[in-house]
Amino acid sequence: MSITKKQKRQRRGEFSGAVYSIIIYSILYIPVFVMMMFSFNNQRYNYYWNGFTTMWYSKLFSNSALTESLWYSVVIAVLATVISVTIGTIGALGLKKYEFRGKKFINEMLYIPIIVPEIVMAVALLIIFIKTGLALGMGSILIGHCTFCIPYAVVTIRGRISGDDYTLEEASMDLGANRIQTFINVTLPGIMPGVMSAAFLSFTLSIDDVVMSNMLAGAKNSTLPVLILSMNKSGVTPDVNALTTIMILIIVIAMILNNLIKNALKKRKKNGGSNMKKLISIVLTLVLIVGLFTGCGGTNTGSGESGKAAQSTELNIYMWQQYISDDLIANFEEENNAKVNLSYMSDNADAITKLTAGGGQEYDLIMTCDAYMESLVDGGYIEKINFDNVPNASNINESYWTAKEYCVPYLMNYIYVVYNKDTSPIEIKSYNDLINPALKGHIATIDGARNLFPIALVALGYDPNSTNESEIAEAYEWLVKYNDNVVAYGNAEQNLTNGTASVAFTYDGNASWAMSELGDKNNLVIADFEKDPVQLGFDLYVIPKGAKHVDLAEKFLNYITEPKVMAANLVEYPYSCPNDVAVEAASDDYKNDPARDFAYKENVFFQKDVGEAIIIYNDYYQKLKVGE
Amino acid sequence: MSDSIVSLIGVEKSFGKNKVVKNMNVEIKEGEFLTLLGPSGCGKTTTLRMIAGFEEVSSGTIKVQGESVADKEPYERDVNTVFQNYALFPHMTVFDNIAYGLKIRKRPKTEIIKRVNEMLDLVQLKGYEKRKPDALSGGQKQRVAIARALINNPKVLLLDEPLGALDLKLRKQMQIELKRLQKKLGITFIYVTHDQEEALTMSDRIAVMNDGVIEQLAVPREIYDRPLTRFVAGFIGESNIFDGKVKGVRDGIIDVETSAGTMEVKGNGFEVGEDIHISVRPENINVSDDSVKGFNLKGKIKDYIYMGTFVKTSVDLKDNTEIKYSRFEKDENFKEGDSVNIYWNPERAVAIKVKR
Amino acid sequence: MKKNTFKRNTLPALAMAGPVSLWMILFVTLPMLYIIFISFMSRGVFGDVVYEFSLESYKTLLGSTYFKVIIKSMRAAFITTVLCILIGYPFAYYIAKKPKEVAAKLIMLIMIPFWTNSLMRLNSWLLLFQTSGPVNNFLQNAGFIDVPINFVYTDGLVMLGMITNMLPFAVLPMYSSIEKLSKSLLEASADLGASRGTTFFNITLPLTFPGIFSSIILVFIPTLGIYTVTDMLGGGKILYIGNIIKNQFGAIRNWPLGAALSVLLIVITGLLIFIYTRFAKIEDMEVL
Repeated sequence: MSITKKQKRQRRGEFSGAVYSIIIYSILYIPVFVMMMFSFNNQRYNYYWNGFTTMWYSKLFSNSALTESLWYSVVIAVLATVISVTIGTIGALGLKKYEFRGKKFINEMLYIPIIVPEIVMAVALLIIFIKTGLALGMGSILIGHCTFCIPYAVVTIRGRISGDDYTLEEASMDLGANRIQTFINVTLPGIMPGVMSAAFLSFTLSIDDVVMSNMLAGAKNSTLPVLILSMNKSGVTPDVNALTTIMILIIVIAMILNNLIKNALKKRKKNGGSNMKKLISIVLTLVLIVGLFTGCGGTNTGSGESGKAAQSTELNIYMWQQYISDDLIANFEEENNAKVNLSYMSDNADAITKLTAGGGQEYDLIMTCDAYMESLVDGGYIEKINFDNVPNASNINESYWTAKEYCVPYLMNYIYVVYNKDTSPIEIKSYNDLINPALKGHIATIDGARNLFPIALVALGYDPNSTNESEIAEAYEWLVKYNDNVVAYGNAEQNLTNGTASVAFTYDGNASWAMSELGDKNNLVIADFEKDPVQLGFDLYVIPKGAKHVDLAEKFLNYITEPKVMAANLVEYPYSCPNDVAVEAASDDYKNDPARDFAYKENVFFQKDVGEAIIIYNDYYQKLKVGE
Repeated sequence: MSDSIVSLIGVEKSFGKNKVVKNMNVEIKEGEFLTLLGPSGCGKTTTLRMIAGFEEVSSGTIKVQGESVADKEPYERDVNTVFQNYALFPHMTVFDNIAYGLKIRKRPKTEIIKRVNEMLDLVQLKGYEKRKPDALSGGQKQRVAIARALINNPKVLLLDEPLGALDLKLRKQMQIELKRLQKKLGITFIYVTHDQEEALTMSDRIAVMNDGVIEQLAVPREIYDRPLTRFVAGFIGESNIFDGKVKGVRDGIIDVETSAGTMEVKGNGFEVGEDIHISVRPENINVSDDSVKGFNLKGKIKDYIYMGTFVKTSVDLKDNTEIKYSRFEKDENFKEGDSVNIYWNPERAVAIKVKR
Repeated sequence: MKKNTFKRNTLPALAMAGPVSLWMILFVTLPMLYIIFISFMSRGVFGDVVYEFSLESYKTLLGSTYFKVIIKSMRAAFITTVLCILIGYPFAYYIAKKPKEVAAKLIMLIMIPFWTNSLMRLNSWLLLFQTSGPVNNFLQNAGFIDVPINFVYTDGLVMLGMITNMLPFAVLPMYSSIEKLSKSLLEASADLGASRGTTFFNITLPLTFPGIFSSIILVFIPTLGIYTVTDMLGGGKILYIGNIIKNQFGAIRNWPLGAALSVLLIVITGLLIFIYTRFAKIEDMEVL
């Protein structure tokens, strides 16, 4: 039979619909494929493609931190899904059927987590938890996740049951089943598709959540997204890509298995696939996935405290990612028969927020920078350190040490300017060169009010730690011009190496990495400042008030200030170090690092706490970012 | 002679391997009320939808007013449909629903208002203009659906079981109203239903359908009195059907031998030894104490149900077949358990050919 | 007798609606009240909340700098939302016309990329579009351009990242709404003479509008409140309201202002919903 016009038109419609959908799916999946590809990237941080390797996959199996956090994420996601879908399902049914005072109110409350920005909910919950003394950890994260999953579950199920009536339930009860039996045998199977959708949605929301998990995390474990977020400062290592690739493979295999199981069950009993069977097949698949994960080496974390022992067996540290050697930690654990729990901040502000909210006692050691020390001390947020327990601290160069009683410096950073001598339009010899219009769109810079304003102040001839409002205002104007030349804030060395920028205002440690990455093709030079000083910033360890394992904390501080320990650390993380003795003992490569080879190392300034003026800085900083 | 306004020529429809309409040929006359009658799954709704344009024919041709509609979309056909579930647009008022067809054709506002009011009068819904469908009763919705379909002055109106959702009294009332409307407007109605009483009441002609084919197409009286096939006989009205073999033929009377006994029926075109069905309506059955010539049907009265004007009585025959007959006041002397002889006027029974 | 009614009526109601109500009150209402409360408080030097009443936060909000950002963010969010709806509707339509089994699989296919990490996916866009990345390389090799185009850290890339993140939330409610649309309504419209286009505008669109509206809510507001996308793809130069709020609780340390901004967002949403329910007289966003 010949094809009618109508059929032709239908086919065309189907064809264009299919093509359109494929385009959409492609756009959604392109990032996934790129991400999978870069798991084979032969580069320490995923900045650009640098050749093929499979080393990250083997590294994965030895890096338990990653797989542990994935396991942690999955466990939380599963639990959150179960709780949310349960509460959400019976809630949706109950809200539909029963009238009660305040029903409208609850309905409106349900929409709040959906529409209020997560950061707001997260901070609010954080405060509530701290004020009520709830320990942060899996429980708090779980509560946070459920709080936004439950509304989505309710709304999904409501959409499913909106037209239904109660005749089936009535028939069931008429035949002798009580309410619970009716629910299990009649109601639940009927709404199963809705329940499945809700579960799917909840799981997706939970496993990808960053904001809530970051805010409400405890000291011991991070979920995978939070771990990745904390890598943002240094750069994401491809082993994360490898892990995610494996995850996708597992999901694909699971889906295929699920289909096979469903079909097998269907053949056993010929009456089609009932929803109960779907449930069984999914549960089986989940069990398989869990089994696979356990096999992959995710040991269950969540070791509790074994009561108050005479000596602590646990140490909780909150610091930057990619900033301390795994071997160093492992050795410490062995020597002291203790477990070290590292959690990572993505921003200095994270630590400050937690401290301000009163959550400091979750940790035994927190990393901060010298600019905050005065406020931290004055605010009573940190403990004095008993230096009788930290004799190695004497190895640290005194002149680099402010607020001596309360902190131990770890590493330090020169914050200076490097540029690509081949692609940069001009030579740079002072800060004022940075506002030269020739550099428009050429500068990659680190962020932060206390990094940016000082260089502006210096360029204008003022004290970099000025508290004078009119000076700060002038600095703001300078920064506006600087901002015009900036192509991006953050990840300066990444943009320097991949060609997006030709000038970078960044840390010497990161510049060191960039230079070594470029290897023979290194054409980066440190700006040869004639008289402008550069900021020397310090990352310090402090002990927050209320820390539970002060003894171990002090032992740790003593350990990392031991010269040979720090020297070994510097091999992996070649940042500048205030521990002179350790620097002496360091490798030649370290001592000859080109990133630290500049003439004006003595011409530095330190960040000082500016007290109340921080508000002025912040306001102008906000103005700068917001732009006119 | 009125022309055929709709013709189905060799129309077939399959869904996958399932042939739902098989080689349908029918000429529908202009101005007639034709009903497609049959049980669920017989293909009547599918046929209707093919005429409307919502289903494509698998083979064959449909012509409306002499022109094939093969390439025409539903909105290009001069045919309108009243849907089973009314399909009123929930976001529009009664007025807007009815006006829809004219608005689409971009008729001037004054004309629309005039015509809609005419329609509202016609279906007696004046005053309901501003209501939304969810504020209407079933019967009212149905009338809006009819008004909406009629406003375009279609040549043919297709009605897909429009009265199914109404209660009995309302249904009967609407049947009469629809019939009157059809006569008044002179539009061809093609009506689909499974309710044979409805079909008998309203139709000019009935096409009885079963399993994708039309078993009989005739005026109601013909369908009722002289069913052509066993199915039609069983489907229309109450019927007692016997299966048997022709024993003898004489002068237009056929003697038949069945497992229940022997009987007579008026008929032609049968040979001795041929298989045959006999259909007898309950109201045409008589009982007597004595045996009657030409019949040998004995039975026991089983039970009876009081139906108002008559009493429906069941009788078990000797081979355990149960037949029903309508007993009137005069037969009251027979009661349960009595043995009776069954007989009838051969002219009141129908001889039906057995399908190969 | 009284015990019986308790068992029959109150107990089931309590058992079913109780947990969700309790959860909402404990973990939503109370925190929200606290947020509203501190929006009217003053800020301490160190960023903590000083419990003195002050309207400072709201005054700052309405001051020129923040107001401009708010408007800019809303404009960008609006464009993102419109694009998501325009791109997503045909997609949702296509899926809704498929049989339920197939549609379920197609929907699942949309969600699976979200099981990989969103930060990684955003990073992928950077890797693709950076100056030395594959896109620029391809364009240069194919001769379309001479000098690499600066895609990264632009509004365009941020919008791309936003759309890819938000698309499922746009598609799902619209799909749900389109799927519910009774086929007979479309047939009735065609039957009455409307072409496919006319049917779409007169019947399909109005009747699927609840779904579109849910999509708008689910895309517009979160777009304002997200900060990860702008952080990663905006290079710190592009800020939406979400970034600003996050900064208040972070680097800037002005919690009352952050709270006030959050209150503002809630008010905007409430207004949107109010306008819609008034306008369209739909009781509950049932189609979500």
